[in-house]
Amino acid sequence: MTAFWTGFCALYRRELRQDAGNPLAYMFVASFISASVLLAFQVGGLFEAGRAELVAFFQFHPWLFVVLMPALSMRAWSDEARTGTLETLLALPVPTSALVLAKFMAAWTLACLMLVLTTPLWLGLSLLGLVDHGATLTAYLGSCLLAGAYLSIGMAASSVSRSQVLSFVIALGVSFLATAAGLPLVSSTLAAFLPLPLTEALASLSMLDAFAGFERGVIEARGLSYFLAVIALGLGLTGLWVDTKRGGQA
Amino acid sequence: MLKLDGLTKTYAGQRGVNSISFEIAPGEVVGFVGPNGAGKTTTLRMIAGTLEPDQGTVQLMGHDVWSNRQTAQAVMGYLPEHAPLYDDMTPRSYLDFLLSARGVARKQRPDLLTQAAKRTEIEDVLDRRIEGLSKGYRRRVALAGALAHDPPVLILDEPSDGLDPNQKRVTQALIRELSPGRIILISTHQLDEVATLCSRLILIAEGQVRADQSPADFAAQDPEGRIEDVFYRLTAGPSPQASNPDEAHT
Repeated sequence: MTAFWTGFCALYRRELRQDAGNPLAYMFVASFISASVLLAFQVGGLFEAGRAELVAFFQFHPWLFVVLMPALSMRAWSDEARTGTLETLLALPVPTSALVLAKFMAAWTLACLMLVLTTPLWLGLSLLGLVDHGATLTAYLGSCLLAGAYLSIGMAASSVSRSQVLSFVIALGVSFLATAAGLPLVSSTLAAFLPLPLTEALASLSMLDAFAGFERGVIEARGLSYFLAVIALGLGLTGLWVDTKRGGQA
Repeated sequence: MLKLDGLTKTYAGQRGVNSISFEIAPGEVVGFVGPNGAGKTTTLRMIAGTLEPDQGTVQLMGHDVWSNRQTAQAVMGYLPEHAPLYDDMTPRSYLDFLLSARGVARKQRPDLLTQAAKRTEIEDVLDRRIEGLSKGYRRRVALAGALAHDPPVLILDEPSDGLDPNQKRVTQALIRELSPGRIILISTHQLDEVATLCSRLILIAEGQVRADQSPADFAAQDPEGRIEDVFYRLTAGPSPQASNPDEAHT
């Protein structure tokens, strides 16, 4: 194996083991499951709609992820910098890109596992009526990609500061803006100050807009490429910021 | 051979390390001494590839640390300042993580791990969480991490800091045992350690090399052969007698 893969696999396993032994990770998973199910039933009216579909469940994912993904990723780099273990990582004969990808993939694995644990809702609903399994699976795929996009923002924020709290606040702010930009209320407010094409462009860059197709059960190339681009951008920035620590900048 | 040529690092307009050059051959144990803030850790970080120099080069076994970083880091064991560790791991899992990240084959890892644990005398705490270990054990676990892959070059930043006299003795014996054929550079404040352990002493102050000679020759600069007095004269003031308040008033 190359230095990239040996480094990637070692750090990926370490991060997963850390999560497995961390009670906060279990609390995090439990919070997501209970909040998403509660919102789907109480606010989304999952049963009241009278249709065997999970749109009411998935529609809240962007808002839950705005808070939960920064919380999941805030420690990733800030803790390494604060405790000094970043020095140990940077002294390994491993490319920075492998370290960045390993931390991201470990957090993404936990996020995807969290989504997998909500599948009993899908199974339960399919017992009650005819569920479009293809559309539901697509929505799950979209939700995984959405979680990855928020996580990459969180990773980049975590690499900027030694403070977990500051990392969380930065990630929360950026994630919220990237989500709220697609709300009609925000678009109409922005339209009062900005030219219409710019307002439309900002709205089209929203996470909500990219997730909408997946929510309906459609894999759109635009949505797919949007999420992959956000993930790549987030990880690219993380790599850059981690490398600036080698330059003594941060 | 470890070769530093004109190594320079500037922080906020001030030169932390100013054009440092020296060479260390295999078999040499070099004590790198100087007052706090002299630039010792900065120099060691530049050698370890975790901090990029503004000017100058570091060649390690023929590899430039910055243009060929991973190859150079593969032959190096580095103990960072304050010996940072992952508190959630056990020494065994920590050493295994470092070995796997360095690409050591799974079959070889248990032997190397046992050897490093034996050398640093941490066998009895191998399966305890690092979080609960004493400062002395933590330092030795970090030292085990630096030498677990049996590297030909060891860069140790204050390896005996926090150790009791018995543990210091063990660490010094270990360094002596490891020294044949290896390049060992030790940053330390303990001049007695340098006198007994090192074949050569490099004194750095205000980012510049002030002395580079054997500890015996260094001590011989003082009429009474006191290494501390020579250190003081070269780093703090014109002469220890003149600046001694008791003697100055007489």
